[in-house]
Amino acid sequence: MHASGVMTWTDEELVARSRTGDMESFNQLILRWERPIYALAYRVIGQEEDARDVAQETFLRAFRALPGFKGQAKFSSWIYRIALNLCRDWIRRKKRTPVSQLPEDVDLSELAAEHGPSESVEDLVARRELSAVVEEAMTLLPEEQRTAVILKEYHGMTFQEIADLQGCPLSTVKTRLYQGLSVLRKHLREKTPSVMEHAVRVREH
Amino acid sequence: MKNVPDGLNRSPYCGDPGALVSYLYNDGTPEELAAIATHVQTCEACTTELASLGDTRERLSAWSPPQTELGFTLSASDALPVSATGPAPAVAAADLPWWRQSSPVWMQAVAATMVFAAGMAVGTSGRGAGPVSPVSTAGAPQPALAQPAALKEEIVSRRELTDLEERLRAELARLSPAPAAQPVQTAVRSTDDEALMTRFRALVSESEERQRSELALRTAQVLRDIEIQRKVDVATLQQDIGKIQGVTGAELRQQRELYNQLINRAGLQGR
Repeated sequence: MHASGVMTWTDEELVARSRTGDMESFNQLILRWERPIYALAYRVIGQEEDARDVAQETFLRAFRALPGFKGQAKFSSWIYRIALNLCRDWIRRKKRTPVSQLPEDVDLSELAAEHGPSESVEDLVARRELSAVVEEAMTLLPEEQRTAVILKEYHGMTFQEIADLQGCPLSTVKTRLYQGLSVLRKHLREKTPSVMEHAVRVREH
Repeated sequence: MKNVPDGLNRSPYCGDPGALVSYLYNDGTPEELAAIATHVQTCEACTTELASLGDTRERLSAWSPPQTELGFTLSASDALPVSATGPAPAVAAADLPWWRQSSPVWMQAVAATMVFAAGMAVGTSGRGAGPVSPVSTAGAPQPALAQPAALKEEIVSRRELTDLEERLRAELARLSPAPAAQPVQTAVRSTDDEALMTRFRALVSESEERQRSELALRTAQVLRDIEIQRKVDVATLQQDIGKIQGVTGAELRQQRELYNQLINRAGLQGR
């Protein structure tokens, strides 16, 4: 199979080929979705290594459940559902509110260089501090609100898709989003407003 | 927002969280969004609220997960995800023999404990229930008890148990410092727990059966030793009785002779 051909196929086509035993097609699906799934897991559970494990496990579960996947939903919705279930299991196991851990031994000047010459170390520090504040604020939300905000804000899902994933009415999703955003707004205003103003200003440039 | 004095606050969308987030995320039917937009244009409170929520959304975009190498892949043979940057497993977990396949740590610990306890029980009974030496009051040389053939088999079995215990411990030690392999192990667990539990139960049953056999063997040995001890004691007793009887007979003879001598002397003096 030619790699460039694989790249142009839709998820549904790749799923169909994977179900016939074409591993390259399934690995192509992994390549497409591993980053969003990892990001989702990280934002929900807040632990880098565990998020990586959850992402791995998600694709393994999906692969093993592939014979039972009849295309009744989009592959992305299906894989998100698996990932969210695993995140939920992880949270239950840990019995704690997920708290993200920022690496402390990071060379900020190197990171700034990675983001191009326009971002100074000062800007990078401000952005990272804002990121930490957001992470902290997210931990204040109940799991359902946090998941709704993450799926909408960072994964661009529609209200209906979120409602399907969370198994609740569409109006509940909207309420969760509004309440979640209200809590986040309050916390973000209280915490280091100067840093946030700076970070917002940096992003606007 | 309901107190906006322009009359448009009577709009069903005014201050409605659902309507606000629909407009905020531009997620709704065109008709609904148009109606909300019409209201927002004339409602200062809703406009302010939306601007505030929009500012919050902008701040949320600063949160990004740490960059990490992913590169998950699956292979047809093992169906296990491995990192492109990490070491690939040499053998597919599904192809491994059951005792090398991963299992939950608690299950491994329980299995190791059970096997260790069984080994200890066999070892303790082997030391405590050794051949009973018949105690002879006569100080005669003891009859040597023949070592039963089954006892040799029991020693081999004990070694097997010890080996198994060591293997389990080695597996535990090998698995615990490898967190990167954890998800793979977790995946294997779900499908192999039942098989492992079956093996575990078989192992426990085998251990119990072995202990029962060991108990029967030891009981038979004790009965044999008691029988030998009884025979030795009976023989010793008979010997002692014989000695006593011999001593008693000699004394009787002496007394009889003494009595005869007294009679004879008395007869001589009477004459």
